[in-house]
Amino acid sequence: MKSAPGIASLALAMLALSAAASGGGSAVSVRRVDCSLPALVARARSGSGSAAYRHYLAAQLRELAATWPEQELIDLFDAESDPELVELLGAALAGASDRELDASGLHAVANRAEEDPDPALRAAAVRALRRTTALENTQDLYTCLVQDPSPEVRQEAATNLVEDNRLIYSGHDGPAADAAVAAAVATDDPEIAAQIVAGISTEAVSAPSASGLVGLLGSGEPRLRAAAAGALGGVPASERDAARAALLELFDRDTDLEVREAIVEAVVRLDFAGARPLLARLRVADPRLAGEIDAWTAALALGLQEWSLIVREKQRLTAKQ
Amino acid sequence: MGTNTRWYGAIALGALIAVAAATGICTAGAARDREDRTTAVTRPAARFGAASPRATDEEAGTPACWAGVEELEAPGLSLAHFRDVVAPLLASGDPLVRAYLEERLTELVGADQGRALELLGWVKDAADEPLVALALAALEQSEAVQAPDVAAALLALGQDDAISSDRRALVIAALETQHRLSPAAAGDLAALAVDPGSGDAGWMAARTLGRVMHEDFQRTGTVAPYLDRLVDIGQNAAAPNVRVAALEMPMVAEVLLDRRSARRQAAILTADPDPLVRELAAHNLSLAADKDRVLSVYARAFDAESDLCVRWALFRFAARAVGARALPVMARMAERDRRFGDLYQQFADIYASGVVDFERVWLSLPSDDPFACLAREEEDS
Amino acid sequence: MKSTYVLWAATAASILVLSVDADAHYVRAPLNGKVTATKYYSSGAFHGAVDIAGGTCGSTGVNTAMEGTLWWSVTIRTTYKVCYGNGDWHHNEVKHTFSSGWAFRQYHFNKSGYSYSRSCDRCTIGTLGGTGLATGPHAHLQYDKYGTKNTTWWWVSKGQYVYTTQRIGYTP
Repeated sequence: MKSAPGIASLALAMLALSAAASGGGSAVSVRRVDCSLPALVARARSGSGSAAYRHYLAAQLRELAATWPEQELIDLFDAESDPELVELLGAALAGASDRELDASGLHAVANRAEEDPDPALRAAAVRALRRTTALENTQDLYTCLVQDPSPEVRQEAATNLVEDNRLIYSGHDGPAADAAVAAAVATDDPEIAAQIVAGISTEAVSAPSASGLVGLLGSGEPRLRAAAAGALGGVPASERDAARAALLELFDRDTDLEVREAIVEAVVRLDFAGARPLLARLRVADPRLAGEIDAWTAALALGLQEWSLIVREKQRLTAKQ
Repeated sequence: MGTNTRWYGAIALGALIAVAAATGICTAGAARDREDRTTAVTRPAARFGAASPRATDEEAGTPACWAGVEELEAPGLSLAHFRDVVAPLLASGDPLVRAYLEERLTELVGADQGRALELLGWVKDAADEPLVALALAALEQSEAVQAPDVAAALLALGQDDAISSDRRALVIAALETQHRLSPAAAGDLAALAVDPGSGDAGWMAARTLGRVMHEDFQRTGTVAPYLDRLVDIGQNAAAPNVRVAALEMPMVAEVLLDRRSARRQAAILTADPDPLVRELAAHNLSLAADKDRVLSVYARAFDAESDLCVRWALFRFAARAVGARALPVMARMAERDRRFGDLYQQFADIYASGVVDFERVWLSLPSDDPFACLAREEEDS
Repeated sequence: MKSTYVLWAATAASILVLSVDADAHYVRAPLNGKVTATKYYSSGAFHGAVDIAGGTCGSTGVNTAMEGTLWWSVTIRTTYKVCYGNGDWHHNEVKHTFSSGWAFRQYHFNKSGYSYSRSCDRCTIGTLGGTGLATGPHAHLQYDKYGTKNTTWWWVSKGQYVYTTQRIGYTP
């Protein structure tokens, strides 16, 4: 049951709004007041306000959560049943954990993400964990979340894995990438698996994870096979030979164009200019790939030594055509 | 720069999946059987590990709350009314409310050129510096700033000597989100940057040129008109900080240098008296199109260079320029300067292991600052 | 010298920009104190970073400076308390490595129980110190790409007093 909004807060807000709606009139004095968690929650619950205001409320909750008694916030969070408020309060709790090195609040949110009977609330709790330390403080949580019966929960979990890898770890963290691959392997949802492996950097994955990616090449879904192929292009140098062999073996038996294009890209990424002889062979093997291979060849001819720049220039060359 | 070794939850991939299948480790869905939501959530501490010590309140910082701020959410709010309300909020220094005010004011301006020009009126007339800064920050992020009349008005104001250099700098900065600059506008900014009397406005003009170059480059691939001007500033500006800012900007946009641009950077590399400027030129040259030429430029420059940190720049950016093909040149550099012997071996070993991407080569080095060029400190006051 | 408001407004990007730019982060002061150096030292020599001094050496906490949860890699080269420098190669360092060679790093703090690598948002990673090449206890904040310093990210000026609640720059 939703908690009743603060009547005093709403009345104050309405008075202020009606005075301001005249577009001018006497100056209103804003004044500093004690921060009240229930008042902030009431304002958030009202649903009113511009995007800027809602961002402000979310930021205030996150910042203030670090200074409030944690149990008070956890109790509010546990009792909340509006998905938007679950997400806001959950993000505040998780954010407070990240500020204070204490994972208790984070655990409360993680528990709800896993156990709330309502899938909308589970999904909200998962969103609340985005860009927090959840990935390294909740062990196998994400492996479970990608197996959730609710597609919405699975989607939010996949988004968390991709964004956390990219934005917290900048793609450089082995355990974070391994956790993402583990989730992709564990899920029965090929779309989710494809999103995860396509969205993460595999530069620091472990050998078992690289093997897991090779395993995904056997998926019945072409989109997942393509995503796994692309991911194999980014594995560490120690996994390069095995990755290349698996990609070429897949090329021999898989005639799906999207998959083959992904294999071409992966081959380029593994060897840069060294891939040119192989590219020439693949071009002969499948003339459908001519345009794509020519674009990669042209990009490689620039002699760039960073994948991000090679991709950028390849896209620029392709867009010009 | 070693690998991460923590994570008590890191489990081998195969074992994880096997354990999950065998023991039903995922409890997702089990709670659906419970009817009472208030007891549905459990917190088995052992599952998620022990807590760490908490930081102090001083370390956490102290955000604020404000009664009356909802005034700014009124429909049909005029900019004049907005201005009436915000002064104490700005004076407080509260970063969260400041961010809200900027975003809200950006919303209020939107694509409305009239409102954008009204904000510019504040900039001309207001004595309140925080208000001026807020107005320009909001303008910079608005859709209206892309309108030619608004951009032209900003540029004109930025060159108005009747306004302080500080305020002109803020005005110039509001142009940084422009999708492109006309040749005339770019020329005006470049002239401002090299003007010895321009102060902060000149520095900002150099940075703005660079940031719009980045914008235009990302959208259209256009870079040459800006790059030329930035190099002009890098060579001709009187103030050292302006020259450095101008030469830093290609690094941010990662522009590829054509032959002409590369020649100009090479001239800076070999002739500028400031080692920092030479280091920037070495960095920028690593994306020159003519790889063979830039490699020989690096080799010659290394021989002639006396500054260790510039030599380190030449050494590492040779690898960024051409990859493993640079190793013979790097070997000769190491013969010339024995301090680079171990470094050469590190690069050679990394390339031999199969790494091809320079970003990964960089991350694989045992140290990204082998000569403490980044950690140099001289004084504190 | 750049005035506070010049750089504060000029460099600040709104939430709208930050929300789409993965590497963009606001930078906060890692401790309460005074800015003692920015692009150049008083001598005119190049510094290319922000130095902040304040509090008590060995006890005032130093936070990671960037807003938002990031993985921070801590390197301890000096395990004992140092306030006035202990020579080249002895600075303690915390760093986040972005993509494409960008890195944000902080130097000189003293080791404490908080000095270990982890993900966090503005957490304490040590105490105010002067480890390494330093003439006094301070926090050094720097943003660089493949080892080349970038000097266009901050908006504070030498002599300005800053607080941990205050944004002092952003990395685009």
